[in-house]
Amino acid sequence: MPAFSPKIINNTTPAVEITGSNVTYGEIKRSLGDYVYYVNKIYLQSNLLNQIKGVTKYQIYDVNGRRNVQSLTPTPSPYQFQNALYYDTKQKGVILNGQSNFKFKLLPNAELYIDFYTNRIAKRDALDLLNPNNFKSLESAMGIYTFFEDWQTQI
Amino acid sequence: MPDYEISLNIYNNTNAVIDVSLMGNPADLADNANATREFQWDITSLVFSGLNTVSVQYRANGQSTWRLYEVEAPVTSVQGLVMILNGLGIGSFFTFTSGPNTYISNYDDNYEFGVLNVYNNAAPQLIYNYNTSTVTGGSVDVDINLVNVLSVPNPALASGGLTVSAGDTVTFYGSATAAPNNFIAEIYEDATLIFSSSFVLNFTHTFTVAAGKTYSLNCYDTP
Repeated sequence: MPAFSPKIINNTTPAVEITGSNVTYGEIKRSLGDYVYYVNKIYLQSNLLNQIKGVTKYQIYDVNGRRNVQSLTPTPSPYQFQNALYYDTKQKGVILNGQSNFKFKLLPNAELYIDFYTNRIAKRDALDLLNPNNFKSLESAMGIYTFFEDWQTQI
Repeated sequence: MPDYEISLNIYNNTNAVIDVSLMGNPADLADNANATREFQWDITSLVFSGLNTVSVQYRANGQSTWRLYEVEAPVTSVQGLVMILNGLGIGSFFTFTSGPNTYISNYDDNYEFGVLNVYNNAAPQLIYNYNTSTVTGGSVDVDINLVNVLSVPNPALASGGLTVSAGDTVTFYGSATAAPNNFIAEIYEDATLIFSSSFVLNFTHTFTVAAGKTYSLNCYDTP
């Protein structure tokens, strides 16, 4: 039976390298869940035109463990010269919450820049969404304390 | 809700097409971005014929016991093999060539990979066909794992099958006191001749049975 033992190589350069602009890719991934991003639009730019077209699978798990998969198909114009495009995802319900991901093929020696334009919601935003002055309202209802008199939602 | 931009730069530093899993949580084991430890298998010698089982060992860093990922599926190409391996969901297997060699590779800093096996798991067959008329004395014998399972005295006229398992050691041997015509003994592994003897009163050959193969033990004399 053909059996193949692996050769282990400690490279200095990863096969797939992903970096963020002012935070690391790992930090972004760890924030998912605490922060939830609703993706309105994606900007793609690459050194290879074939990299920004083709099918990307977006999959998301719901609380019951069911997986919903949809295909995202950015399509550059046949008349454009730039290897870049905007892809509108507002109607597709693309959410980054730690229970979703994108799967695509990265071409040999490809350089791909992706910009997600999102609306972000965090746990701390929940109360402010309901009422900008929740704590002051609570205080008024209690009628006694003025601890939150100067409370502001932002510094 | 405040607007927020997430910008990522993604580079493929290899000459291979790599399946990428992006923006999942840290528990997504298929996301091996920025991993630098490579496990590389040279599969240049692999022949894609009759293969129906793939297995690979894996374990998390620091574990001593290998776990086995095994899939029964027809394997007809390198790309098919890569797709089967990516069903494991750890890292991202990809293939590339360098000169005359073909490799499969996976980068992962959290899991180790071991031996990759690609084979046919079907039970092997062992059949015999003896047709001699001028050989006298002695016999034609078959031992399996050092146990004699068949002995046909000369002149030998017999055919049939014997039960073997992958990994068994088979010895095909014979002797005679007289062989006036040319006495031929042959062993075929599928369609490949692996042993041939123009019989001079004695012959012997030992081989190990492999899964998915058919072995034919032939004895005949020529006019």
